[in-house]
Amino acid sequence: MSLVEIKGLKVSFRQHGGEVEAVRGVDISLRDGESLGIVGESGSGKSVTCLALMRLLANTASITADKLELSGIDVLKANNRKMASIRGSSAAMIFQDPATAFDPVFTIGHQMAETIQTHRGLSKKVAMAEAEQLLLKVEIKNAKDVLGYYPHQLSGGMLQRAMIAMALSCRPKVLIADEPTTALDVTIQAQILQLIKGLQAEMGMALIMITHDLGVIAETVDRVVVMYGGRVMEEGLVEDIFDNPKHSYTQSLLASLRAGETRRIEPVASEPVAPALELKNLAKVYKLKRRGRIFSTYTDFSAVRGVHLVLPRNKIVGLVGESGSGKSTTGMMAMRLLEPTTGRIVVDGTDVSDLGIEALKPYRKSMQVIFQDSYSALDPMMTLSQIIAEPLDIHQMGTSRERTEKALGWLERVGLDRNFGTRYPHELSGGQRQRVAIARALILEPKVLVADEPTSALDVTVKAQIIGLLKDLQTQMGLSMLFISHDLSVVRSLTDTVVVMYKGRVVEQAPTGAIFANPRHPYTRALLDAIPVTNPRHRRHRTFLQQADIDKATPHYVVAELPGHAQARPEPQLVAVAPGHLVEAVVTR
Amino acid sequence: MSTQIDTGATPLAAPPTTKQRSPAYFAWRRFTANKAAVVGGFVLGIIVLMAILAPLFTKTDPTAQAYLTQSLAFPSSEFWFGVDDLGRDFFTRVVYGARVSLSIGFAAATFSLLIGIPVGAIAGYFGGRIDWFIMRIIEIFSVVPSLLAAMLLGALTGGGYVTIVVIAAAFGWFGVCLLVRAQVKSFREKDFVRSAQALGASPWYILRRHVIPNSLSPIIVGFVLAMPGAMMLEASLSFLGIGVAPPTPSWGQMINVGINFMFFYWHMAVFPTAALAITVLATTLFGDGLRDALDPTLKGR
Amino acid sequence: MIVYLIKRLLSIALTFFIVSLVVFLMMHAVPGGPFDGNDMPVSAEVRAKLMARLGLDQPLWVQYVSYMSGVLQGNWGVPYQSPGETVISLLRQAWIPSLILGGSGVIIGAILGILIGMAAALKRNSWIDYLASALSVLGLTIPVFVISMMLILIFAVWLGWLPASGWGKPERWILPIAAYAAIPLATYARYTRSAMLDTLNRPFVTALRAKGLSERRIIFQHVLRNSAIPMVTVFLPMFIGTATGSIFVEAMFRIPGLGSYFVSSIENRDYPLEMALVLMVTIGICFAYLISDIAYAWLNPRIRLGDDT
Repeated sequence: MSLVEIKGLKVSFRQHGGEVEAVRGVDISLRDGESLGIVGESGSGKSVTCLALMRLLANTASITADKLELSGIDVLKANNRKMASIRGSSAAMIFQDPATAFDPVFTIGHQMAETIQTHRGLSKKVAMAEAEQLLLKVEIKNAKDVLGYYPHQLSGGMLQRAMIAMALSCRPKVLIADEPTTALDVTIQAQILQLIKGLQAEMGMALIMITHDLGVIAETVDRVVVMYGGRVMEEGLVEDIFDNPKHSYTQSLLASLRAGETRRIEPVASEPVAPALELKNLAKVYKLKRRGRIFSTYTDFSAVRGVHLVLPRNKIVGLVGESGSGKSTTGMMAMRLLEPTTGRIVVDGTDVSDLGIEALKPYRKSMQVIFQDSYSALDPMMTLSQIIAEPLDIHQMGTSRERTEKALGWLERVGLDRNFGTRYPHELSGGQRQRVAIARALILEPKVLVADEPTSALDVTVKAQIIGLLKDLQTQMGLSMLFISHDLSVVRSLTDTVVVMYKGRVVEQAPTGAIFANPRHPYTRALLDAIPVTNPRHRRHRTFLQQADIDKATPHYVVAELPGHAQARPEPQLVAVAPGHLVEAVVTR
Repeated sequence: MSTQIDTGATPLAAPPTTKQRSPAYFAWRRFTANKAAVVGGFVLGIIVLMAILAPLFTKTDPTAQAYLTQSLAFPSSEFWFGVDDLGRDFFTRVVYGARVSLSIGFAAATFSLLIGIPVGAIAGYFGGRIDWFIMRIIEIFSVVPSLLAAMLLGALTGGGYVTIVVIAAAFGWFGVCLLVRAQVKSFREKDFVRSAQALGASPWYILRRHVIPNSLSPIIVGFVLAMPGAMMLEASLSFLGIGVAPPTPSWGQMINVGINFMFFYWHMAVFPTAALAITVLATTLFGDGLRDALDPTLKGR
Repeated sequence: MIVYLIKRLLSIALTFFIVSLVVFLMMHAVPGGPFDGNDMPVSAEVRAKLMARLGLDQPLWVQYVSYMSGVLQGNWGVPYQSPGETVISLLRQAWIPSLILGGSGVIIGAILGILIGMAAALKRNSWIDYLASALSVLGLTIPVFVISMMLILIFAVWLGWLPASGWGKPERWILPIAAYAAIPLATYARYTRSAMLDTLNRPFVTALRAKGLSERRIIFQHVLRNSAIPMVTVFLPMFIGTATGSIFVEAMFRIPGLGSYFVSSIENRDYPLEMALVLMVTIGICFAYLISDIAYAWLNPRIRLGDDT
């Protein structure tokens, strides 16, 4: 008997001015112990399908289906009490943002215990003890303490684990995971996925993994359903889907996933020309307030320490790292949107670190930035042509008509129709907005473009389009680009050089092909190891390093081993181990 | 690896755009969906018109004691609201009373804006110490009950039109200030402001080009919602005898007189009460509706 | 949390002093003293003597300091209008009606308001929802003396059920209490409803349902607790509104409470009485402020634990 049986599911929402169909006829089934992946982009209806199964949708949703059964119970006909009894016990759900899964005013322990008490009728004391065991099971070491913590006191990764523990507390038959790792760093994602797989095997649970990332699919599930626009496009065993995608949408998803895999190690040409951008010994120290008994004390927090970075002409440098690595801070300092504590910024040969606002203005034309959040990047009250023309406006270039004309020209250049000029940002999709942001950034024809995670908020296929656009524009204009991202596959396909940052320092730097083929620093290795596989047959078990392990594994070299001039020093420093390939290492005699 | 650059109209990236619409249009749609607000606005409009055009449809001057022989007459076809205790046509009095209330409301709201907008914008944009300082001041103001302070001041200066406007503005500005400040704060962090900074725009350019146009909604809302407070303040003070001086008609005053006559001559109390209640209610509903319609987080999304 | 509260306490104390100073200056800044009214004309000589005796000829800051130090010691001066008593003894009687009527009004109004607000939030677009919205708008926009007037008109004049004034037997209390209850009821109906709706829309409620908790538990344990915070913060402005409203209610219903003394003290330029009343109201408001701060700190785990968020 199937655990989950969905046939002909249709869900639509009542909204201002009409109905929106989110799901248009979907068939899905799942057996005990099976793992199923539902992959699709935002708006594909994948989450709505599972929410409908658990009847967690709002009253504005109308659900119809030929069959909608969970663990043999007809979800459409069940009364509230029955639904409450199967939620959490037959099927449990975990969400993308763990912070929103917990009530902020109660402790973790209380919330876990109440689930256990509700479904299994145990006393509070016993339930708390159970909760502690579960926390240990999800690899939270200080489980007893965590029981008494409030949600805001835990980090994202820890909270995610606690959420998983809470979901498992009543031994559900199926765990529904809705984009559980989308907001997490790559290494944490790998750990959580491995944890979920392990727990699934141990408890004989079924798993439904909802995601937009085919890599996650390849790592975790046996069967796949591909959804688009509220319908099922394709389904089958995971190996079949990866080997032989039939639908064009699936094919483009796979293409995006595998972009860059064919990158080879390229020979490094020497650069006699002055680099477009140079960052020397850049550092940023924040003073953090610690509230003491009566007075506050301040401690120093180094977000970025001693970063050297060279951006050659007409090249794309990728700056990668996880959250807390300092990559965005570095990018903002390079643009002087954030003032560095120490260090120098050299743009096209001129040191711009100390220039005042007025003196800096002409140099602003040479360096521009695009951001991650396309919603907040465009002023909602301005039309598109006004937005793109704004740089010309600020620098007083040309007459009003000339500016508009130039703006419209750029609108076309980034792939949008000229007529869009009178539209407003809210009428565009995320990808289109990002195109407008790019046009605005490039209209002054800068020499340097800093792109801070420009594609992270976009759907997979749109991501590919925007990357393609950036690449073409870069080639056409001879731009030098600093591409900041945590998405390694994007970096792999786009950049010429990669700089890896970890806890505020650069730990490795090399041409892209070299970094991926031959990483030398333990952190880089860990990072690359954590990337989800692109072929389900390559699934493997991973071991994860803690920070202490990484520090211990810092490479050690003797002066004689290294090409070029290297000096012995007690602290770690960046040394060249091959032409163009720098690694942070400890050098001894 | 480059993919084809396509226009915005591929099936994979098609957005649901039909016609172009400015944010203002969506705001209008939302507003008109709120029936109470529309009715409120309509009623307010009528009251404003009546106040302006008062001489056109009232019999006499509001202070003219033309009907002494018919004092305290009940409403009839000749005297729509009856006659008051001093022989004045009550309908005329009530309609002219609207002038007092509305003009005070507008004046006080205008001054509240004049003070509140720049203070709020500065506090929101520059943050830090300046913001902290301004918030402390607002905190002190908000603890003092406006009415009591108004009474003190009113009693000591003898009341009067100007005093009331000053007091109402003095206690109304921080409502506007808080609205503007919140808006400015939320916009300061937006990427389009950072982009403008990256382009080398000065803070003044940013304030002018980005912050103020985006702050129009709290400004409008702040204006409309400052009015009822001012009107109630005036009515309360006039009720206590320290507001607008007789014989200028003021609803608060009329209610005060009306209490004495209430048991036998109901019209003396009911009409000014109803007039005040309806006006304040209409303004508040209109203002609330505006606020919901102009909520920037809902702009056209 | 203690640190937070101490800081708030200091801030409130500071506010208190500033307010008292400002009021003091205001009173003395306006020309005209207690003896310039028409009904008690005195010769210049006598006036000078009286002023000296009452200490009114001293420089302002001296007067302020001596007054405030007296206040802190419990000596609130002697009212000009009845020099036989102290301010305190005069007001001691006045406390009672204001407290009983005002207090009951607030409590009844608040409880009813919360219940109505909860019902409105839980059953959206039902008759209760509309009732709640209507009541809250009406209660908050119509001035309290208008409400009192309407109550008197309806229940005393038209229906003749209840007496309209005076302070004595409990049946005289009903209408004033109803008048007092208007603002708290309207305020809490509105804020409870909006706070609960906000909370119900937050994602963690879906997660709670996904855990299989009963709807009842979700609402009474989780939603209510999370909604409590905005409800607490509205306590202060509501309290202030009630305090000022007391002036009108007492005037309309002829109740010899604090409010009525306030009016008369202003008319008579009775400085000690005036100052005393203003100070008392300010102290009351500062207390309300403190209580709402304490409640807020306790309810919000971030502040309770002293975390730096």
